[in-house]
Amino acid sequence: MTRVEMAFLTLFSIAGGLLIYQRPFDAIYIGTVLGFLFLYAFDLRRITVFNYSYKVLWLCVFGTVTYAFFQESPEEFWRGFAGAAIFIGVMYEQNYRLKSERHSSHSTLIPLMGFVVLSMSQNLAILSAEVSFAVAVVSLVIMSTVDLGCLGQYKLIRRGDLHPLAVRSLVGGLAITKYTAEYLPSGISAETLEQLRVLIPALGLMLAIFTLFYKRAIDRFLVFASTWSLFILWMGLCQTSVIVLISAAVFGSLSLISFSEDPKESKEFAGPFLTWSAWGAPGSLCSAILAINMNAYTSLQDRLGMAVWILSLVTLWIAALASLEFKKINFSLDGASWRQVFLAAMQALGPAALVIGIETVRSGVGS
Amino acid sequence: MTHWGIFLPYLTLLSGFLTVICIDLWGEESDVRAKSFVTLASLAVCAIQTGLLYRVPPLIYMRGSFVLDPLSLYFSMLLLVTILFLQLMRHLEAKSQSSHGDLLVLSLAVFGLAVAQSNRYFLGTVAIVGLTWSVLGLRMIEGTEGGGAKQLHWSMNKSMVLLTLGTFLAALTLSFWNESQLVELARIVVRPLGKPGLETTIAVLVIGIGLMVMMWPAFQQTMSRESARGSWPINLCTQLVLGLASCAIFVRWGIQIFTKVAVGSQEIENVFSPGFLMDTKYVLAVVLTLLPILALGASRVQQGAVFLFINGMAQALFSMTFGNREVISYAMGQLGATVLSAMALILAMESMALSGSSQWVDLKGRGQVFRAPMVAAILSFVSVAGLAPFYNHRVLIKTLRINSPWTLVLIFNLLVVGLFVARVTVLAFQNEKSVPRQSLQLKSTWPELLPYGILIFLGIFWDCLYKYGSFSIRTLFGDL
Repeated sequence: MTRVEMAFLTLFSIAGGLLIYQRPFDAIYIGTVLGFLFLYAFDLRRITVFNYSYKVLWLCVFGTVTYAFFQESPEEFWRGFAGAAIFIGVMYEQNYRLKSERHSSHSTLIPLMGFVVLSMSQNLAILSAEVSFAVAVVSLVIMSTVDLGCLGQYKLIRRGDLHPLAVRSLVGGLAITKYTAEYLPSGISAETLEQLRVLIPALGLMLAIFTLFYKRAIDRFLVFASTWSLFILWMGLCQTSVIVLISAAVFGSLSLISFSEDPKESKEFAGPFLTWSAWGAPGSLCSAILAINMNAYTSLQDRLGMAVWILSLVTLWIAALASLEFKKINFSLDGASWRQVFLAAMQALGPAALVIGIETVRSGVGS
Repeated sequence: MTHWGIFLPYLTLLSGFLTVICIDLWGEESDVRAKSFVTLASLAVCAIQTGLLYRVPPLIYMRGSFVLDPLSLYFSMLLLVTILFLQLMRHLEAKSQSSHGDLLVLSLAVFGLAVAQSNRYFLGTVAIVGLTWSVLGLRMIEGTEGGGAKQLHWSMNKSMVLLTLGTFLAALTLSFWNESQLVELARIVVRPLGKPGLETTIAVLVIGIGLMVMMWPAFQQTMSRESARGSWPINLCTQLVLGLASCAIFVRWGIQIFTKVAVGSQEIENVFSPGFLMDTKYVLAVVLTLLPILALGASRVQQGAVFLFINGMAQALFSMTFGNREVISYAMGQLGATVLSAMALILAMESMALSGSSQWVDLKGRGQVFRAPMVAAILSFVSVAGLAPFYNHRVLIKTLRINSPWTLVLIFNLLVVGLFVARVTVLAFQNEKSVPRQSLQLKSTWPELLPYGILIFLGIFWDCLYKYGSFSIRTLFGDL
């Protein structure tokens, strides 16, 4: 371990410790620290270790998110996440390898700038609570779907290349969780919320069908990442419990990091398993979140919404199966690093633990 | 009565002048570094002296041709810090090959201080003309301004226009109010003459002079067919000096005179209708719409950056026109934040060996080679653009919370400025193989680290900027 890495980990530990110390039993705070810790520990290509400027940006994202949580006002909350969005935009630009010369229109920074401006627009005193809420939801939808602008542009994606995508997914999930749990305006009508609960699953399904027009696995996977973030947004608007939302954000980002398109990597034992679980396929951590939500909703509308989400995800899994190549799988552990093995073990054993844990917490709250 | 203590910084600068001239006359050719160092030391001592003058009660300096209230002190400090940084960069780059450059830097400080502290319109006008001439001279000597005689002719015309407008302004105030001191005018104008046309004319003149000082040099470089060859410190710092002088004109010549504190509230309001604040708002709304578009359309990176920094100052002035005390405090702090962002950008650009004449194409892929400096440069752009999480963003948030449709101008401005930042970032991290891996222009590692220090300050420890801004506007709110 280098001195820089030690300094980095020390800084992270202090910040994380402070965050948990502030609210020791708050799921959002613990989830934030865990989420960032997982993204660092399971950074399979060690991008956060070997690239110092990326490391600085990663710390900045963690810092701004932490700041957003410490400040107890919607203004500061949006300010923190807007800052995080800009840092993530620079992370994307620094690390993604596109087929041809990049053009601004294919940059993830453009939608992220849109997120920043919309998050600022909520401070406009001339906006009513309803309009302000609509602007907030649009900004969160943009944050969730920033990767769609790059469809068809990426070169070969190796495991770990998607680190910025995972960071984006985590930060988006955290923003959605905090916003829907604490800052949802009281002045909005029930009708508006109901309309959104229909519109967002419809958008998810549309994206899933849209996936079928792309042949490459990476393009389909980018759509999956966006769909998963939209799913978290929908759960937030349905007032799902915070612990489920935070689990979806943390484990969703953890799954995204393990996707690989590299044929060399897919021959290893952990490769196909991790790639498959990255899609939230049955048996993985993401599928556990789905299982938990199956019977969580009471209204017919929300149940229908959940059915639409399952349909969308099944469509995406079919698309994944059609585009991925699982040939010549080597079932030895020789080529796998400890990170891959550990991540694979988490994906295999985690779902049961997650379901039992969340159900225990829920029943504890209920009693 | 003027207290003589106010002239201590001027005396320091004068002694610096004399020493540089003496070394030039009787020294040897190898004393180039000594002259540069003397200039640097004079500016540093002058800045310390000006900073320490805040301890003296401001009422001592409230009469006469010079004034040193919190407002003028704030502008003086900002100007001196900018000029000191400019000289520091010149000294490090060893660009001061002749004493002319050093003398012009010193004259920049003298005229800058005079603009910030002058208590009369005419004296201020003369100082502005001196300032613009010093800027032009410095740019020509350091080889940054192309065009030679043509540029000189154009700048002479501009100075004449400025001088004429300023003289006309001084004559008008003297004829109608029988007073030429700004401090006295601020008291007299509270009771309007009942001739709104006259007051509007004076307001328009002040706005015109302010805009000319801020914008003309940037446009001059854009319009010029000769490509500018200047270094980042010279071009950006001189533009900042002019921008700060322009802000001083807007605030001290305009807001201080033509507004009064609203009874029972934390706001200032116009003395006459529609008033200086409203006129300035109209003009700045147009400026804020055009500037980011000009930055996007600029042919050189440096030109775009110059427009972006002017945009940062225009945002601060626009926020001030809403008259809210808290917003004005933040906006005054934003001027300091803009100077700090410029320092971070200049250091980052120097670390990447990116010259002032670099086109957008030269930026391609540079971030893949110089990762840390490029990230610092991009974050400096983010900071000055008013995007989160840096200080300027907070100013804009506070302004947006004011219940006025005019705030939509800021949203449009942010949108276009965001595109500028995105364009720079996308270009910087292209996979370009032909990026030259030159050694750094500055032969040490601190220029790479210092921008991050500045950016951390602007992101987290900015509170003192707000407090100093709040201190400076005590003059406007009569809290002395």
